[in-house]
Amino acid sequence: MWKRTEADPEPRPAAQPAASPPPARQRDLATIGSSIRIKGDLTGDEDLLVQGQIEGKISLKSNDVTVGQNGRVQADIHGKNIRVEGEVRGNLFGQQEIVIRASGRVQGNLVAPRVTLENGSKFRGSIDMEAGTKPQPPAERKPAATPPGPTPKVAQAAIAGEPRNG
Amino acid sequence: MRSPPQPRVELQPPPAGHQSLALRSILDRLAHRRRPRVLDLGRAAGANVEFFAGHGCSLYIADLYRSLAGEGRLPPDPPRLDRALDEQLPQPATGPFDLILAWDLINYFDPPRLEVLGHRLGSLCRPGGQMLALIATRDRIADRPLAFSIRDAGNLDYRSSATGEHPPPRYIEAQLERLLPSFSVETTYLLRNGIQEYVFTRRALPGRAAPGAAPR
Repeated sequence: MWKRTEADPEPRPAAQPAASPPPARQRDLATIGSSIRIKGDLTGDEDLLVQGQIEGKISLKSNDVTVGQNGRVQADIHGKNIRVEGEVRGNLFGQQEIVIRASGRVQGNLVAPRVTLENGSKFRGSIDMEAGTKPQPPAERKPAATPPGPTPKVAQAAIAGEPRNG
Repeated sequence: MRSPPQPRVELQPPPAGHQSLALRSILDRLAHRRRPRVLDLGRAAGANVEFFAGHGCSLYIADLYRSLAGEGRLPPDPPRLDRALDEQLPQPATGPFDLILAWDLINYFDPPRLEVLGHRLGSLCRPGGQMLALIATRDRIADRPLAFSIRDAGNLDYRSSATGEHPPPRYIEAQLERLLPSFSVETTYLLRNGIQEYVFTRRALPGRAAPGAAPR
């Protein structure tokens, strides 16, 4: 069900010399193939490429998450770097960066220090790039709010007195 | 043998653009607010995200026309439009916006539907907040809204995905003030390209029930 590939396929020697520095930690990449459907929460400690369908929640805060062109996700996604080339309905929380590629379609809110929307991408929702921002819970669907009542005369005068050109 | 260099394929034509006189005045006003909230009714544009992030704003992108009409037409009557707007616009409970970027959207709403849209937008804008609209004064416009992106504080780029043209309603100021009673016209600039930029201010007055809105 899960295809596991090595991001860095270089072979390592069977035994390391004692004096040599420890090898850099290899980043594993899990792939959810296009025929796979998952309902539930995903957690783990490796990068993830989604080409299938996920409904639930993806929580890989220290790893990169990519929703590939065939990927369909209906879930909140927490990741270090998040890239979307497919379709996501849910909120994205990137520790470092969120990128919506030209083929990407996202409906939800984006929270990350850096957000990039490529031309051609489809996005609807809010974008918050303030570091450390806590996500707002989605507002409850209610009838339209009653327009605000009368304001103090000072405020009204300030608006009425603004210059008007044209 | 070396093959001749392949011509670079442009996926999209370069964007057209125009000088905006309204945008700078809006930004000057926003600069006095702490972390202003901006509602962009247009399509998502990376340039706009970067621009407003650089100005310390939080941004909500509604992509409203495509959300309402897809590749087709807007909901045919005011009650259905009102229900669709309820689904597609952020809820007033998320907090009022300091600026609404309507771009050229108003040109695609006839008077009854514009009244409904205006009521919804009024409920989303804080009193004293602003709205930018680009109203066509020429005879024909693209058959769907343009995608605007901000090059800098004085210049806009835009792309069209239109398949044809049609005549716009060519709203004048008095009509707009009547159809958008929650807003007053603060400033307008008539540009040489047949676009009139309007800066509206949200009135601090009680509104009224949405005309033609479905009962809740």
